[in-house]
Amino acid sequence: MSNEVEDTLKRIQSHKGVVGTIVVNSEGIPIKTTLDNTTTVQYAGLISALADKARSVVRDLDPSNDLTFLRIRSKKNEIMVAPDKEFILIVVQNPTD
Amino acid sequence: MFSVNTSECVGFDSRWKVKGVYNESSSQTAPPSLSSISTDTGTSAEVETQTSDISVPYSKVEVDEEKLANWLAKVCPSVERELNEAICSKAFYGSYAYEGSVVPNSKLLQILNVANNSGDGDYANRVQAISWNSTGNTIAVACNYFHKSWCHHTGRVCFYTFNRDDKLPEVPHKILNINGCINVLRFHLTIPFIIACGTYSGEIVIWTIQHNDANNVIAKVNGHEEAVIDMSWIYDIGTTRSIVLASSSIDGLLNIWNFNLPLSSLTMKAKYKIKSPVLARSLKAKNSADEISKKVVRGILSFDFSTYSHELFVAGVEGGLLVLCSSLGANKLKGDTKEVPILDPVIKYYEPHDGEIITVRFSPNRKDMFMSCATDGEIRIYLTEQESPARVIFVEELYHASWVPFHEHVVAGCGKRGVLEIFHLISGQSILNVSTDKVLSTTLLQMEVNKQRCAIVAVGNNRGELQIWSVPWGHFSAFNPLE
Repeated sequence: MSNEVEDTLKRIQSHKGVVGTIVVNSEGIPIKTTLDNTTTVQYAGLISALADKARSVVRDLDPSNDLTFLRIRSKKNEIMVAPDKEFILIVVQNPTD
Repeated sequence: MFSVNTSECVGFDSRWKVKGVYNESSSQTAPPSLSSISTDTGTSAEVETQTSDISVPYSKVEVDEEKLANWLAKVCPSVERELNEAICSKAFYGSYAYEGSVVPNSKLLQILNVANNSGDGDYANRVQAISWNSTGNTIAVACNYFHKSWCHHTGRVCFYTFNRDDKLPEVPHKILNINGCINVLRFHLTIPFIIACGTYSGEIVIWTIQHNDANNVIAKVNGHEEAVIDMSWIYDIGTTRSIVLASSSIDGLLNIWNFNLPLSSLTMKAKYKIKSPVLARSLKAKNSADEISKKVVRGILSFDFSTYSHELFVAGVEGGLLVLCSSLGANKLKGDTKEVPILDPVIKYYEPHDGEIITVRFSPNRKDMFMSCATDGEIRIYLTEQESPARVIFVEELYHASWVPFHEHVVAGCGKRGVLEIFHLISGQSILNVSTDKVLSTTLLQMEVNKQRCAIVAVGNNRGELQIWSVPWGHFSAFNPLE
């Protein structure tokens, strides 16, 4: 099963412009990463807090709705967040590459 | 009682003028010589004991690999679709080209006057306690007076909440008063309207700021015999839901309190006392005063519980002692007959500071790392299993130091220099914090990083001012002066 996880992460990592991929658990602790420790800790903590906030906004607006995907476009890169109850997938992409 | 006494008359000639006789003499034996010798007794040698890579492996987290594989397989196609879409998109092409590269700086967002005017011309100017609440939108500030003996003042806590423009109002939206100066304020970890306050007289008060009633007090206890120095809301051992209050004092006790909101009660759960090490001679701080080093029980000046192992805590004790403690397996002290027994939680003593400890804090990012800052002008980074510090940063006089959430290489502090000082752990040096905002140079006493919006930092000075800064931590964290 571990191989399947690694294969999937490698497939995402091989996409054009992808800088790094992180999987975070529900407590905001990184469990898989292709980035260095420092960057992983920063992304895991900050993005999981943002994803929680974004989800609560969506649900406050419409209690029957839920957040499925979050894209953050910045000057330097784009961060894709796929949130779920137990895991969050964070992919950092540099679109100008 | 009375007696007759006869004395002879004494006569003298009257004169209208008496000429004094003056004699002038000087006695210079040798030309004066002046020599100046400066002896710096403090050593500033830097000793590094890191034998392997500084990075410590993160604690292993149990993961259900099968569940993760299934979830990734489900989510992967949509992520790939988005990645392809993003790489092909020209929607933002050239949008920011005109800005060029921008060097981020610290910005002063606001200055608020929070001095406590008691009405008799006496001002409490020293910002002593600052706390952000769990939502990061409300800040509580308290000022106090300098005490030489008894405290006869009225303490005042001012509450400010960000408005729609992300500014704090000039006038506090709520003010709470208490008998006695306030030493420490701590908002509850999860309930944003509950705040705990520790006073100079040893009282602990829990307030609610939810309602505008006259009575905001939920619970009030005489928690300590001396001034409360540090407090913290912590997770109870074994449960992740239950939150208890810990308080420490000069009386040498660290007390744990059960807080029950529905019952409005604050009851004693446990008492810990940190004893001086038996081999005091070897671990005694060089400059600690004799009366402190002779004390069996010393005041606890600062403490912090680990967020990773809820039973572990580090404490900074009078005389520069640093101690690792555990609330699990703490021994009952002999001779104690009180209802709540006093326990000895000490596991390990670390190399002590030569001054009094100001702050001890576990790293929010690493399980086995903590930081201490003391009046001897050193910030030390310790690994829990190692008695000597892994890193020593030499600083000018600091009054407060803090980790920065999510940025493990950076420690921030404030003190006599009057600016927010930033230190890089890898190089052990100060990072030049350039700000275009000029502020009056004052002594900064307290700082508190907003946990929800990490870039926002509140700093209090000795003139009754609260400064709100925006600090680009990411820029300073990425910057390595060694490169």
